[in-house]
Amino acid sequence: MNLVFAIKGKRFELDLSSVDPSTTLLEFLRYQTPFKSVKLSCGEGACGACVVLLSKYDPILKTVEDLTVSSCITLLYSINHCSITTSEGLGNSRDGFHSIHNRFSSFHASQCGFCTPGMCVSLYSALLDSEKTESSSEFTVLEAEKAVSGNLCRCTGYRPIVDACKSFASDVDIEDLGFNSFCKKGDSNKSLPPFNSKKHVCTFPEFLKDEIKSTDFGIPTSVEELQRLLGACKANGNGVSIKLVAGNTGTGYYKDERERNYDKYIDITRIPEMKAIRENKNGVEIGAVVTISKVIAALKVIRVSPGVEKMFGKLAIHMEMIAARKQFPSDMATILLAAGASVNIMSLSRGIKKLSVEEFLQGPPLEAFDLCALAYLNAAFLAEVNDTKVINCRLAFGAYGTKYAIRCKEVEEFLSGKVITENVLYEVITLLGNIVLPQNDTTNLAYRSSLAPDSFSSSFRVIQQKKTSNGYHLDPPKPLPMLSSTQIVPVNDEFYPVGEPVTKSGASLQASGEAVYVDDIPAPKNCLFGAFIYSKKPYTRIKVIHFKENSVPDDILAIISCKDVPKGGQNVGMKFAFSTEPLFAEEVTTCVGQSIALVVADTQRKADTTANLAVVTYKTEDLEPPILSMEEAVKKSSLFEIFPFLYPQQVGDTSKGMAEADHRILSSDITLGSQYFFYMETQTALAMPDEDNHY
Amino acid sequence: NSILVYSSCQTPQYVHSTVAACLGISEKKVSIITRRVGGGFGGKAVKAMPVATACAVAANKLQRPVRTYVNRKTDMIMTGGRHPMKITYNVGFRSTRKITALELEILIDAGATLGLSMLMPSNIIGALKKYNWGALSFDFKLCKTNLLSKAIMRAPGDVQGTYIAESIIKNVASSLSLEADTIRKINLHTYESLALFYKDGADKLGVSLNFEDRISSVRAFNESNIWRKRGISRVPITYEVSMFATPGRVSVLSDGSIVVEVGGIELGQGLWTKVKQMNGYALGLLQCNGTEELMGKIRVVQSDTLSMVQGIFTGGSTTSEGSCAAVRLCCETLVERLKPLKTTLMEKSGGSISWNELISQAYAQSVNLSASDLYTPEETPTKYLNYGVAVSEVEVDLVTGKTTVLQTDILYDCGNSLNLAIDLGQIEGAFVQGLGFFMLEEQHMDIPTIDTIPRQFNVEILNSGCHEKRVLSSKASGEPLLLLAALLRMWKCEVGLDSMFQLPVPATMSVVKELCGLNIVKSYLEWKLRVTSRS
Repeated sequence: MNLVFAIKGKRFELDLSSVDPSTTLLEFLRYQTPFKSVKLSCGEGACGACVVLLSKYDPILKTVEDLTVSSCITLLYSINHCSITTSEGLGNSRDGFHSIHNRFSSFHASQCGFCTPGMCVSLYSALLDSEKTESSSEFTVLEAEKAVSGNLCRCTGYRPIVDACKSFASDVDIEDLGFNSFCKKGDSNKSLPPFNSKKHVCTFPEFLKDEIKSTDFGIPTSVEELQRLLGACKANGNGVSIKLVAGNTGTGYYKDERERNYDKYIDITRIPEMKAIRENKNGVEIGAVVTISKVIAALKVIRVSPGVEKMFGKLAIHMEMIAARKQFPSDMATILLAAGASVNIMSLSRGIKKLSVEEFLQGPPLEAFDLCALAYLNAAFLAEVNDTKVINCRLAFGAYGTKYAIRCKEVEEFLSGKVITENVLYEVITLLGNIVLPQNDTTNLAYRSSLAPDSFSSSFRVIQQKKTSNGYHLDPPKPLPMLSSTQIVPVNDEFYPVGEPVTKSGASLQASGEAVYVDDIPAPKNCLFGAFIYSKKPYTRIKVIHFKENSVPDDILAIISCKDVPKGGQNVGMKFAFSTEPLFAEEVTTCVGQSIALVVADTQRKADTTANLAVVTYKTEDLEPPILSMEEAVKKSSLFEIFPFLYPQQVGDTSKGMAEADHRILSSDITLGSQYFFYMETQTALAMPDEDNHY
Repeated sequence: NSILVYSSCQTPQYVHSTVAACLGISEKKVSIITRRVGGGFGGKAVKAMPVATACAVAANKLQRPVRTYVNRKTDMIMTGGRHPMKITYNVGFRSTRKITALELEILIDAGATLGLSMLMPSNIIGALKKYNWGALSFDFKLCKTNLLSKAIMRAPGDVQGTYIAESIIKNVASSLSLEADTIRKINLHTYESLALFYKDGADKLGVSLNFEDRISSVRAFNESNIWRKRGISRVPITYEVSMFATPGRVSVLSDGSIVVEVGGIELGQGLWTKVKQMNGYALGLLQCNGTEELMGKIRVVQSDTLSMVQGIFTGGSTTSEGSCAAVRLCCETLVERLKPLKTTLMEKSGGSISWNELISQAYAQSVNLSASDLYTPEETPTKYLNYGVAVSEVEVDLVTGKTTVLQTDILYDCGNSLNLAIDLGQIEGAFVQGLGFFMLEEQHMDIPTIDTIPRQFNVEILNSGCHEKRVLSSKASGEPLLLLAALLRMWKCEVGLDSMFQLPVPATMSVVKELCGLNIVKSYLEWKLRVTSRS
């Protein structure tokens, strides 16, 4: 069976049996093709540096659907018959840069450039989407601001990126945008050409369309077929691990998933029932693989009863917020619980069964389901009110340190038929305080507990105030104002071209993703890959390194440690002005994160996986306890010397100054924490033995 | 046994000597190549060295190329970041609000190894001295713990120093029940006190942003809103930077194109672009036809430690300037060499001469068209001060603790900027990174996003005038702005909450809510019910 897809209009065909099913699209692109514009940064689909445009063709409707995916979590095998467009596919130094690349360059929106290709693809996708929207095909400032809201950048502070995106909006005057090299003061030309998708890029090549008509691939195309397939797998023997895959976004949150290999992966994105959104008189039924953006679009246009429509509208707005962040604060369970939704689930033994969300959440085997909410707390309230009187309501809370979202029936009953007064609010708050209780091991426990009553009263106060209007402000939450900015810069031509705001050298190359970073240098022949094994204990002796399942995996070529430092060399990993530090821990490690060894394998993935499997046996018996705070260090006089020439100079005489003071504040404390660099490109190097060698 | 290492680092020279020492080979057998770095912020100074060295050891042992791209999780655990600190202080002040003495005890967690932690004390004090404390004394303890060795991160020490200064000002203001800005104004430096505190490099401190009007509108907002409060604050900074010796080489090829090597590394900060501009300017002084197009002929190439020695490190915000200065020296040499030829040729032709003609003649006559030099800062401008001020207005939702930065206005002195667009980018980018430190980054992934930057973000760049000894009177912009973000924490104290609290860093939602009072709604309703029952 072969996998057929296109990248940048070029056809690729792979023998499925030769593809490790857990291979990601990013790994394939970066290691097996020349297309390196997808950058690896977080590796969990959260930062946007690896975003590509994935296009699918529907041979019946003859339409192309384009969407962005994080290639670092997209499985290669799932892109059969798809076409991939990277930033380099939009335009490049040989075929000419795309106007998106030029805007990023001219708005000074690329600094280190590692996030820029992903940003460009996200913007391109947003522009395509708006063109396809039937109601208004104009790209608006509002859409521009959302276009790259799921992409992270550590250099620019985003302002110029937002302006580059807004430069395509139809409702913007270039003069309102930030500093750029298109518009100089006094220029008469005040507009930039709008985006035109027809002019530039073909996201889905014709040859692939022709192929799709003629092939039947072994991916289930109906629920029955899926059921048959699952049945067959089960019949084949116990212990066959199967994973159903659609977007594979779960690997972004469930980090262990990334390291897990299944025997079989089943792509469920081609099953019509699971792709469909069906309306009926009671509401709407949404298939399990419908993308979040499609659900949002559908909810906005569905016309049912006014009350339900309003709820759908709210749901759409809420989902837009979730989609924009890409960090999986999925609180859909809570909101669906309050909405009274139900779920159809299929199992091999019982076929398809309809459950209320409440039953669904409580029933096995789905205990882990709601854990993917990263919020402190989420809450959804649905109430039918008559003036200020509550007729009935549903109150749902989740994510506050509970296994699954819950409904507060006690409070619902209490509220029904009650007029909302301060007294009632107070009683409900007291009740909620006893019901919404986080489990003890939850982080930010007190904060989470406080949010349930407070969110309730914020919402229900509105009902009360409608009537009373007793002088104080309602302060309903308002959407954030649009981003805006001004820049005032002094121009000085005295040393021309010094001082000129010329665009960054190589900015367009960075935008198209052609700029070469260390990991983009093509791997030389016979290249190996390393991954660190680091200490997980602060202060301990290292006894031995072994591996889970007690054997060194076959593919591992070497484990490099301090023993491998050549004769005549020293175990140093850092030599700077006033200190040297060891490369690998010798007998004793002195902190968590200290490197112990480098695992070397023939792919980066194998090296990483093996490093994760490494188990270091530690021995702490004859060692002092570790020093884990500054106070302890001071107590034990564990201090580094500061050279006198680096010690700053005191000013004046403070005892005199203190004596002159009328007031004194004594022994006041300040505490400051750490901050991680979060450069988009993590640490990397490539070492090659050079001449005078038998290599 | 030679070895070639491609390294994403800010410190090729030191990576070079580390690899040589580890392998026990002569430095001539090692070369480190760095083209560009996908973001450094200090993290690719010391912490890049073991990665390059480990690859070198493995490659040496296995006699095959070895590459390592450290995954994000491992990078977070092995690289770490900024130095945590604990500060205890005594401050004395007059009833006139003038501070007369400040005594500090500062504990710095350096981690298990020393690294560059010894640079922290002078940086902390450098930033802290932005106010006139009357007299200032301090006791630093650089703690050796069994925690990950801390790295120097963008504006190391300075960012903490400025924060400490603002905390103290705020504390003094609270104890006198005054606005912090009143205390700031009284304790700002005069030229004389500035000179006393900084010894050298003091310029006039002449920036301010008028914000009195906005204070009153914030007050009005707070009076009419129960669950949302606003705060506004103005914070000045002074930031001392140092210049370092930096090498450069400029060579002209036979078609008139130019290749440039510099010690500095392109980290995204626009170093190459500034170098190109300086090159265009300095060779343009020859005044040939076509010199205005010189910029297009220049290529800055990757750093190779065997080709260009003494590259030291890229950091401290001044490497762009240093590299520009080196390139300028090289160009001056080339101009010297080409001038006589140009004069002869012009006399012969009786008119002007183009750059390309001049170069092809120079090739014919074997003029040396490659010049290299090492810029060394003269005694006086080794150090100088940067100035800036920022005003930020924020809104806090008391129910959730969510904070929104409504508006930030920054005024920053870039001297005579080498590239306005690039300096603007450094100013904005550094500010937002600081915002992350002070408000968001509790977990490693919580860096600022489009949703958390100031909704209105205004920047004005000033040119304070000429300082002849500086590199065409330019100033640094990469790090100082991070300090201005310290103010973001400050207004949180000024939203009219309990005035004496200490706000931890970062001030995340849960932290802010805790300060607002976890039971704020309940307490409010209780109060409301009491009032109603009484009436």
